[in-house]
Order: sequence, then structure tokens, then C-alpha cells
Amino acid sequence: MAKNLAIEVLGFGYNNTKIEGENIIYRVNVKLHSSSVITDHPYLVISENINELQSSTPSSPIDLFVVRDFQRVDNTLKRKVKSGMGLEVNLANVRKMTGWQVGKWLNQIRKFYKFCKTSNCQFIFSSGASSVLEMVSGPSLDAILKICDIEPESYWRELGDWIESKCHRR
Amino acid sequence: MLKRRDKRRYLAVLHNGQMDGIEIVDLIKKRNSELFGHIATERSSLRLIQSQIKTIIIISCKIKGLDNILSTIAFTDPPLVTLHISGTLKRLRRACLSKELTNKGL
Repeated sequence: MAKNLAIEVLGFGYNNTKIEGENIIYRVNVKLHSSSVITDHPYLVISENINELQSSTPSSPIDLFVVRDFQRVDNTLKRKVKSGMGLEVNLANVRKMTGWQVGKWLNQIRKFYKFCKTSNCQFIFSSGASSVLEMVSGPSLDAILKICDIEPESYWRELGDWIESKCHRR
Repeated sequence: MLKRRDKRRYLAVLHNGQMDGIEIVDLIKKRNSELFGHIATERSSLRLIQSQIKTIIIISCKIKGLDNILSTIAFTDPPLVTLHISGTLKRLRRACLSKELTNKGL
């Protein structure tokens, strides 16, 4: 299905069950990461809790932080974020927003992208899909990126480099 | 003055099968109007082409409004997925057919 949507690599939420596939990168929760060891598959340690960023030590680094409400975590995030970290926003809740709220959200994304650039973090735009129907195709993602004044080509290139550097670490 | 037809793009859109083609086009038009305005929606000239396959419909829009339509599809609820985009209906149908065969589980 990912190939049909022009997506080369999929991020897949890991919950102790392994999914076979070469184009899958596991998204491992911080708590799960400390209790289980994945050796034969590339993975990224993710967190959605801003307080967990503080406990991020070199031995258990958080690769990716999921930002649910940028406005709320704005100042805290600026203090806690580390260079090279991935900051992810997803579309899961945006579908239910009104047109006015979507407009506001897109404007926040524009600002958030600038913040990622200045703090040397990797901006990650995700569908947040929990089913096939919630997935977003490559062309649709490109169209949204363009609305946010983000050049799709450079975004995908930077993201590819970032994923490669993070996954090769383990 | 030359009379030139605006170029169009054909899109295959995957849905959950609970709505018919007309309802889905109305849903996209409504959301597009909310996000980009009624004028932009009219200009993109969104049309339903066919909805023979249960969970896939084919729509078309003017190339100028394609980016707006693609982003609108990603922002709709219930969710819709753009499966394929093509400049000709023939090529799109061929692509849909091959995708249907590879994704029989959908």
C-alpha cells in the first residue's frame, strides 16, 4: 500500500510484535525501549511527553518528539530540545478541525518549521495514521508542505538523511 | 485568439465504501470551500468521473487547483486517500486495476 501512495519507508508503532518488511522503521516508545531490545531492525525512540525530554541521556536518547500542540509546549520545548532531534507533527487530529482551525494550524506549522530550522532539529510531517484509510499519499503531503512554504524536495532529502543517520547509529 | 481547454488531472481516491461518489465529491467540495474559499473551489472544477469499484472513485480537477484538492483530501473526515494521479483517464484506470489486484485485501 505504501508503494501505491509513493511512500518509500513507513514508520510503524512497535508494541512487541514484529512486522516483516524492509521498508519499515519501528517507532519505539521510551518505556518499551528500556524493557525490550530490538537488534535486527532499524528503529527510532519516540516520546510524546515533554517531561521525558529532560531524562534524555546519551545512553537512552529520544530520537523523535511528537508535538501535539505547539502553542502549549512552545517555550518548554525551546528549552528542552536538543540539536539533531526529530520533531514530529501529525495530521491525525487535523481532519476533525474546522476550516478556520486548519488555517490556524497550517500557520503554526509554518512557524514550527522555522523553529526546527533555527534549533537544528529535523522537522517531520506525519499522517499519524492508525489505519490504511488514514494514510496520506506522497503527493498530498507535498501539497500540504507547499502550503506551509516548505519545499518538498529539500524536505524529503533532509528527512532521508536524518533517518539514515539515526537508524545507522544502532 | 486560441481557444485552449484547461488541462485536467484525474485522481483515484480510496474511501471506506460507506458513501457514494456524489457524496464524496460534495464532501471534498465543502472542505475545499472551507479551506480555500468558494471561488477557488469553483475554479478547480471538481467532477466525479466514475465510481464503479466499491471503495475507489475517480474524480477530475483542473491542474491549477490540483494542490488545493490534494491537501483537501488529506484534511477530510471521514478520511480519504489519493491512490493515483494521472493526466489521462485511460492510464489512471490501468493503474487502478493493477493496484486493485495488488491490494485485494483492502
